[in-house]
Amino acid sequence: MTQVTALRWFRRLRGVVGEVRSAPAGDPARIVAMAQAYRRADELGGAVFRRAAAGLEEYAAVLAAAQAEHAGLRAAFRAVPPLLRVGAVGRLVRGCVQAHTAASGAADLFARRCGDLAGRARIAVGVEAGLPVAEAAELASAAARGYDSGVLGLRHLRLAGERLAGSAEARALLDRAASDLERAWLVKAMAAGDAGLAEFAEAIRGRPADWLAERLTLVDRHAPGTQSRLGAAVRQHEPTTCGTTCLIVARAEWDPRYALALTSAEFATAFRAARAAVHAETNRWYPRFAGTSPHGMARWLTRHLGVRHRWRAVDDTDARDVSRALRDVLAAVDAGDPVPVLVGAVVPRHYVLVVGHHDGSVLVFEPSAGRTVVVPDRAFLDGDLRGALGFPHLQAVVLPDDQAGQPLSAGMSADGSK
Amino acid sequence: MSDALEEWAAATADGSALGPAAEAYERMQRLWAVELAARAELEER
Repeated sequence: MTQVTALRWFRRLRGVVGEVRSAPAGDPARIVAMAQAYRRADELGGAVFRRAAAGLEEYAAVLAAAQAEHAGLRAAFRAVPPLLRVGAVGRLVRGCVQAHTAASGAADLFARRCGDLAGRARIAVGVEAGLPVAEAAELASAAARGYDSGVLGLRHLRLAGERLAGSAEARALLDRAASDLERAWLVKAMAAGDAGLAEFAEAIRGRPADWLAERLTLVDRHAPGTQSRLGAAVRQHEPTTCGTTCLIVARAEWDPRYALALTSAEFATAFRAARAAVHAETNRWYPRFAGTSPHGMARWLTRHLGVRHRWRAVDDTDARDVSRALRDVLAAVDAGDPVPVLVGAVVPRHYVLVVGHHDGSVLVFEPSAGRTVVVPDRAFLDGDLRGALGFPHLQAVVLPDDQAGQPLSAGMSADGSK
Repeated sequence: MSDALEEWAAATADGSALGPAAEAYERMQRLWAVELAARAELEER
């Protein structure tokens, strides 16, 4: 333990020395020139390009100020007579670390914006996966509104391209669909796996849009609100099933067959049975009265969502660690993957599920109330989540390993072990 | 690809000036280059 702590301090010291010696990375003048290129091409990309340009300009301004501050501190230090420098070291180190923290925060903010904008290039994802342009456009736009980017996440779109390319049977199922929306739900199920596809196609054939929305997901992601299905609340009904409830909702977002299995029965009963089953499955060794371990959450998602998940603790006393974690969470959400996060105060206390992101706002499913709430991304960075989520700080995240959405490799077992 | 799209793509593809944000930026830029080309193709039909 002592060696681990010593190693951590050594790394931190080495990082601080590096931040004193080197200015924050990046070239503000070239970034401004890139922003101008986006503005000149306004007729091509419209609002997306204007947001990209504004993001580049803001990043360049913060980076230029941080680099100037860093250079000024080093120049001031060099001007101090050598015998008096010991007293000036503290100011130099503090100032350089602050300059790097400002630049790093601006880089993370810009990366979050890039993720948001990349998540809107949905036709491109389908085209890159091999879908014809017209089909990619049709699937990409199905049922998109508000925070909800549509029936299919980017991972679904990627996998759909692969699965449709090699299967005449899948094509035949799509050809029999009664509407574009029905086709999109079928493609979503195909992306999630082959089992029971014909039965699923039969169950949804000819159903109206509101029937599909009510039965093939467990939360409405387009706007904040109380969540229910078929008259029963979608929420944790026990004190220790916040994580369990988030897992069930996340799986339903990935695979509409799972949602349909719950909603085609008497929903309240099926949902109760699912909570009991998932809670037992995720807590073989972990005490159930303590809820669900982050490791158990990651293992369950790996098993049921077809992509490896890992959990990561977040140091809520380190602004840069919180900023990095939020950047990675929103990159996954922008790609269509809901992300469970653990919030708390002195200790971790409660799981919530991040389900949407638009500009500087995050849509979060809060299972104890059974509703989705809008949280400014600034509230995550400032540790100011108590009002929205009951606890102030972000303390752990459970992320898909590969946000590009590749399926599990052939050599990897369902629990993620090689 | 239109001249305007080519000009924009050439001027914005290299994200090395962005330091730690380069990877996220380049992914976004590449996807939008594909997205705009696809939309242009749809409009032409």
